[in-house]
Amino acid sequence: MRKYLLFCLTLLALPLGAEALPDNMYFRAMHDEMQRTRKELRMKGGARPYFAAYKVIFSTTQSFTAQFGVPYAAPKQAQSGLEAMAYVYAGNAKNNSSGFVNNVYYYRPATSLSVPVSYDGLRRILWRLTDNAYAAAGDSYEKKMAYKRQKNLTDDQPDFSAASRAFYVRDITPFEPLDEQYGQKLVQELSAMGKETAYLESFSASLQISQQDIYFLDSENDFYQYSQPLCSLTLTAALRTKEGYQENQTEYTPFLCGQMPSVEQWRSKTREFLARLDSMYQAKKAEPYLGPVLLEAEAAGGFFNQLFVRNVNNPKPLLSAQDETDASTGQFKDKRGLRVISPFFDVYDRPQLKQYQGESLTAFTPLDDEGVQAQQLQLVQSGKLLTLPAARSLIEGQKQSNGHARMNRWTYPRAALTNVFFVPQKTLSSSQLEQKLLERCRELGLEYGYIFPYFPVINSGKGELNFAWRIYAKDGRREPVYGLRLENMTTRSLRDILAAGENMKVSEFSSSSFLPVAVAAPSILVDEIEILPTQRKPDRAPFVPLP
Amino acid sequence: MKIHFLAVLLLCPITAFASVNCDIQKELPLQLMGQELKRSFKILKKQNPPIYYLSYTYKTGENAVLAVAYDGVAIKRQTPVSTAEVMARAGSAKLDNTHALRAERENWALPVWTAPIPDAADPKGFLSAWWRGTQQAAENAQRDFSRVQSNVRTMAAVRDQSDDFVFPPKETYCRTESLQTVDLDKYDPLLREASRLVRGKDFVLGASFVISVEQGHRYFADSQGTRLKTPYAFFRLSYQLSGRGKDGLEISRDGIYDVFSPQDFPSRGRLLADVGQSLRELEELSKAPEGEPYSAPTILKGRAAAVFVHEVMGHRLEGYRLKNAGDGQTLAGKVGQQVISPLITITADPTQTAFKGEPLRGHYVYDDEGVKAHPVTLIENGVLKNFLMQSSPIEGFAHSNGHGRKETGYRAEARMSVIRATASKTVPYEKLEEMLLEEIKRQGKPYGFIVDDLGGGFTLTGTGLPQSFKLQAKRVLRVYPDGRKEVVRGLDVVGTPLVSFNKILAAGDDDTLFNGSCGADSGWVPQSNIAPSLLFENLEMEKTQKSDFKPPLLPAPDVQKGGKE
Repeated sequence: MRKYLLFCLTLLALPLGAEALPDNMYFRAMHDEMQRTRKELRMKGGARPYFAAYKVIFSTTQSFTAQFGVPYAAPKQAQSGLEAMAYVYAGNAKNNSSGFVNNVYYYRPATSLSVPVSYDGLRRILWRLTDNAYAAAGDSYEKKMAYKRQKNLTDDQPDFSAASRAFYVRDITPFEPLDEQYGQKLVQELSAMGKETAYLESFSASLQISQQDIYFLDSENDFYQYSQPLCSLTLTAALRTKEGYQENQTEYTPFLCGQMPSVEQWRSKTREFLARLDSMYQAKKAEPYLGPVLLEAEAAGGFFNQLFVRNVNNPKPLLSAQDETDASTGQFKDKRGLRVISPFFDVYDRPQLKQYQGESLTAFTPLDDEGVQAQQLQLVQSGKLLTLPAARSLIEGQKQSNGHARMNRWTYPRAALTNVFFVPQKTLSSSQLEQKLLERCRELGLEYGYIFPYFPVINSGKGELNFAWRIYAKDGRREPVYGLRLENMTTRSLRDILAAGENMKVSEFSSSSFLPVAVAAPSILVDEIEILPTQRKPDRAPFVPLP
Repeated sequence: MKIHFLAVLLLCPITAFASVNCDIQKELPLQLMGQELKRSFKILKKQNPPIYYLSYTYKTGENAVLAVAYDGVAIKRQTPVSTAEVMARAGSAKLDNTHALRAERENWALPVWTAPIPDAADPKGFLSAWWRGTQQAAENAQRDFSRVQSNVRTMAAVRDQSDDFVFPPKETYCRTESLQTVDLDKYDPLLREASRLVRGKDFVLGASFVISVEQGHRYFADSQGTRLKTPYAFFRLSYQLSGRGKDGLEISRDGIYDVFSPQDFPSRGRLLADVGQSLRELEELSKAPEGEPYSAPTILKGRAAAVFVHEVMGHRLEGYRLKNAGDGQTLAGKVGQQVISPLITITADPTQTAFKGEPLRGHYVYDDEGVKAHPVTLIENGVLKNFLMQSSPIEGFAHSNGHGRKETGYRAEARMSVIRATASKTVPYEKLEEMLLEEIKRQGKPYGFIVDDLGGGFTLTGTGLPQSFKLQAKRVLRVYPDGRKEVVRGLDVVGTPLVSFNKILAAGDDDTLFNGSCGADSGWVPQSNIAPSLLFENLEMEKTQKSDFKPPLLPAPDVQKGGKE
């Protein structure tokens, strides 16, 4: 009790001081409700609230879409909306409600979409979210304690480690909409380029200009505020290949808002996409293959995201009375000090990086969602795993949070990577890399190897890829191939990387909890990937020819 | 040759008298839809199994919504609408892919292909979208038809062996309406002002004030040659206030204003007065005792009676249910028989546009199968006369009466439009209350009920569950023999249709409209229900479902301790 009172007094005594909260409606509402939460929120006979946090996101989006040169119906003005999240930990620093679920698919903060944009509106919503979050926390706390007693679990690590106060404030710049006529004309022109290709069943271009203004405040007076602009152009096509397979292809190109590529650059990008569609239209079906594969930079990003990032995230398993195995926990949690990737790779996580190679990094994290300053990490040195991302709930061997607790509406804060850089200590030019692939094929007596422009989603070691290049060992000739099923893809493949290119490219992905993650990686040559043809069947020819 | 001649004679008047203010031949979307439909149908009807009927529906217009709460805008959105739907029928009119399956419903989900579609200004994008949709719809229809054939061979026979389809008559109609300008910003201050009335009210847990607009045109073309262009427009201002007791019981009050034009939205004075009244009623409800399950003489007042008619009898008058073996078929084989109190007549008339100056959301000129809307007398003085029909015949009813309705993305089913209950003899409402007191005394009951408002409800028509109804009473008054009234919380009206409808003793002269949207097998469709207040010999009340959650531990931030601002 004395400890608790001391904690409360400490919290209440904390001056806002030099790091005063920005004076805006969002922080006024969050601060006022947080004060009430600290002082008054108590459930008779239940665990007390120990830590609380609010995250509020004001999003504005303007979009333009056209198909075959004709605009799609779209809202006239930019659309905006306010989302609010709240979470509460009940208990104390040693034992609190975090990390326990009755259902592993539901480990989420209390969230409200479409929050009224006013002080009263946000206050009212935060009031209800806090109440819901506290009720859920009280419930989790009791069940977690009962579970720990039942399983005789003792953990030397506290459930919530101490951290220094932190804040990060950048001015919120008003959303700058794109000139409507320009945006509309651009998507019409680009999508019209698909008209010339007879076999395309649809071809559309969609331009999105958006901005998220993000505000965070916790009960220890940590806070952050910044704007995250996000701009992208997406080309989407539907076609039926020569052999009758229906395929949908998407090309997503993010760019820095305010620095949009020129119309000519977009035309060039569209022509590249159309050329790839043409290759897909002509492609032959894959045959069984076991051998080296060159992953172009974007494919390498996908490969690292699937096999490395996902296995480093969530190192602390959630406790659950229903399922003792938390499938969301990364496989590398016990592999610190072991070689997890080829020895010529170093891997870093750079949460504070906001832009790279002309792209906004949506995983930018100045402070994490437990109010801890996010630190750059060297995760891997010469192939050996050094460290893991940490939240305030630590695992064995961690001393304090390194500011990687990330939250969104689908997950409470859990340790997760942000902007992950795979940096090779030695590199080859792209032509050298291709030559090395061909040499390796010849060594193995293979007629051809493969080049992947993309990498599929891997589930239980399997993934399906609808397009790749076959490259012949004899003369380097390329041939498009469709219908590849990757088999037995495990973390073993990370140690099978033979060489890396010099062309770092950043690709954006989502974690299993839909948190954005950026992966910067060069092209890589993987010594062995097993490929089988997919079991997809072609569709019959259309009854009626295209109009 | 004679048949052809007669057919022309029959069709001519329909075209000649159709109410038009535009030339269907000059409507570009219909020209293109007709062109692609004709080209596709020529080939598809020769496939095995054949696609023997094909229809295209194209909706274009604008949706707008402004949602305000606690002096802030939560949603403000104006979105153009542009949707294409293709319906294909494989097999024959006798047996096709839409035939109700037994023991499974696998032909339900994808008979219709739906997608956003680019504007018709450039024919390439527009036509290729219809082409893709037609291919998909035809493939789905053929696949479903094979399931139907297998199901019919292996499962028990259904009682009603009517055909699956009756070809709708060829129709031509063209009407264009200018879309009305809706300046959402103009209504922002009014809704904010209304939302501020909630400030300091500790019994209000949630509040929303919404303006919603749906307006545009629907284009319809089918392989029979029907070509329609019909406008639609729905303008609504509504608000909802809710609360929750310590026992978890949820309470609410609301206000709904459907109008012909945004200019007709309620004045500031009226809206604020109504919200004020709703707040007083909510506060009264928050302090009211919980009602107990009981069966007693009851008045369903105006809006509550309209909901009762809709839920309890209306759904059972939807013709397609009589072909579904899994349905209770309450009224099957009862045509010409007395099924409810002889006092009551029930009609459906989608051609009506207004009631006492208020627009009827259930109005339309052509249904979603391209069939002209017809007024129908369903029950006359308690005797069953007819059913709501789509283009799927049932025993004794071979044709649609223009009630095939659906939400975008669903398959049309026979649904209610503007449904109205009238009484052959009425009394002023005050008299009805006097009759209630007499009935309470006559039965020796300690009290009866007046159900002031029903928020909605549901009715079960399947054979797997009791074929009963449950209506959520939003405001119930307990009425004592001495005339004293007391508001109670937490009661729902329950019962079975044939018993309840035969317990009607008298009706008021206060016909009241309830405009709403009804969700059933073919999705959500706008509807109107009109009924007078009804006195029942008795109705059964049961406890309503409670929330599992307590009210928040702390009072609302704008409420000081003690409940005042």
